[in-house]
Amino acid sequence: MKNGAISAKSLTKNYGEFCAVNNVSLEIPKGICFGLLGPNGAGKTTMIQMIQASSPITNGKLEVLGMDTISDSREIRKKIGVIPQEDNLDPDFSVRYNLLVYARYFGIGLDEAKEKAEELLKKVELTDKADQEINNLSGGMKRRLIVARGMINEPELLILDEPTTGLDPQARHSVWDQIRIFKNEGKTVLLTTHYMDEAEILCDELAIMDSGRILIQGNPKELIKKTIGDNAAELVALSFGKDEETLNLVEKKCKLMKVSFSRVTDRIILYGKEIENIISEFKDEGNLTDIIRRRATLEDVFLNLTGRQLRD
Amino acid sequence: MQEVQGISPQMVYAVWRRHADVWVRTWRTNLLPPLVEPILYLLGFGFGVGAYINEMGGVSYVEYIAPSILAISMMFGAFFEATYSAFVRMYYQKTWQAIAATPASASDVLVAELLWATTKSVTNATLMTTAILSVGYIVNQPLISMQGAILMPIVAIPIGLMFAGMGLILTSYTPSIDWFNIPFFLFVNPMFILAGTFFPLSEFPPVAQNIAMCLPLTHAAIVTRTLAYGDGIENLIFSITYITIMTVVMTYLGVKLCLRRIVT
Ligand SMILES: Nc1ncnc2c1ncn2[C@@H]1O[C@H](COP(=O)(O)OP(=O)(O)OP(=O)(O)O)[C@@H](O)[C@H]1O
Ligand SMILES: [Mg+2]
Repeated sequence: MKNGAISAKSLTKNYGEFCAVNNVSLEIPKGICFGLLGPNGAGKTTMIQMIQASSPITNGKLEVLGMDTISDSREIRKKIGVIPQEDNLDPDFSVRYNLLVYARYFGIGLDEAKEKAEELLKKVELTDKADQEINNLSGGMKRRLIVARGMINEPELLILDEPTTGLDPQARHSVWDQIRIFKNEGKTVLLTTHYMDEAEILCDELAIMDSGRILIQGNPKELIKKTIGDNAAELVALSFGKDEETLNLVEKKCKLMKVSFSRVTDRIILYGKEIENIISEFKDEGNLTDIIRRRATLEDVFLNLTGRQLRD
Repeated sequence: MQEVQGISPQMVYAVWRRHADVWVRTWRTNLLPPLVEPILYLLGFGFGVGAYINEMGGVSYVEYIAPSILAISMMFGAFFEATYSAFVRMYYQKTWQAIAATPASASDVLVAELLWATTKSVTNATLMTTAILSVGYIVNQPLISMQGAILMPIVAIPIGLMFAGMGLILTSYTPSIDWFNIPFFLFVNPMFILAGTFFPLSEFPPVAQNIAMCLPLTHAAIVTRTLAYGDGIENLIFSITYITIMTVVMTYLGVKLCLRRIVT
């Protein structure tokens, strides 16, 4: 794909002996919102740091907006906006001055920067806070300011690393709006998130990573249909004592009948056509506290692919 | 790799300006120490202790320590900035990380750190020179030659760079901010006393003299002393050579080692 926003071929990243991104190939076309999902430590932030050409790649080839991350790193960073996972606003400056200082790194003159800053502050509804110190902002305000900062250079590609983690619903929606407005201008968005509903709502296409590899990639709706089907059911029980034995029984039965499932602490989630057969077998089981039938979601895809063990 | 580590003067300036902006925002508290400190030293050591000392190295004690505190402040100005302050920006405030997502490169950031630390050396030298000249005017005893006073901010550039480079080397290694106390305790503070700053090297046993001649502050103090006394700079060849070589080696190593730490 010649005109893709991001093109990775056999991309590998090692930190010393440890392989954080393992032979990843990925084509992200322009004009879409692409989601990168995966458990903690999957390699999402590492991918982003390579894409912003600040972390050198170990192997393979990586092109961003048609430019090579090795030879054109400055040019790439000029044209992208990055909203990092960690808050790195400058606590030494006010809200407005944070934007002005950042604009300077893009070679934007002061007058133009001032104009842009006002415009962006208005966009993220921080005009009232323009002269506040960073430490006086709430987490959600900081996040919105970082989003504004990432757009100071009018980027063609916006990269957001967990932009809504820790935000209240209003602030989340505000960030989503910014992403939608940005995308509607025909520009490209790359987003990581741990919220499956967010990915399902925002992303035209997504990839699920684990341990440095891409497990699956595609349109969220199609992925759900393809890997899980339309429906899911949850059999809920406490995960210790007699209840755990019940869950073990269900698990055994699923394996026997080749029904796909995920086991998550206190419940087993069933997928596929055989759901009702399993349910009918266990519906009178006293140790099950609840049986929930529902539509299959992206979270099911995620759990089913990445398993239930906790990551660190 | 070439481009990742390239240096762009425009970007270096942008990063330097960020540090300067922070300094300007709090200029009142930043001006005070380099203006007040020399007055305290000159009063306490120069005139106080000096009252019991006829002369030191051929001049009055207060004249002896005036160039010393200048050299010391050039050292601290750069060294502190390239260690504690740089580490705060790197580790706690994530300023370097934020800049890494802009067209500025990691090398730009580190070169800007060196230049900013050197700027602190130069401003310290300028403010202190002014303070020392004023004290000299009040007590009617010129403590620094006029020609020396004009040259102080200029020699603060290589001296500041040398200490900034050494600071970055430590910053590339330090596991935590408290760790800086160790080199400060083992290296900087002894040097403070032993570099011919508060008494002449000639009073030392020969072994100690040779050790002292290896210390960077010794040469910084020789330079400021020669300028302050208005002596000919032809005597400075050895010290200037020492400072030049150290500056090149230390700044190069400082940037290289820090790059290894931050570009992973
Ligand atoms: N600078 C580094 N040096 C060594 N290892 C690193 C470094 N950065 C990341 N890693 C390791 O690489 C792996 C991937 O980390 P990364 O930050 O990319 O994960 P992530 O998918 O963003 O996770 P999270 O959802 O928790 O943010 C982790 O095992 C991490 O410990
Ligand atoms: Mg991450």
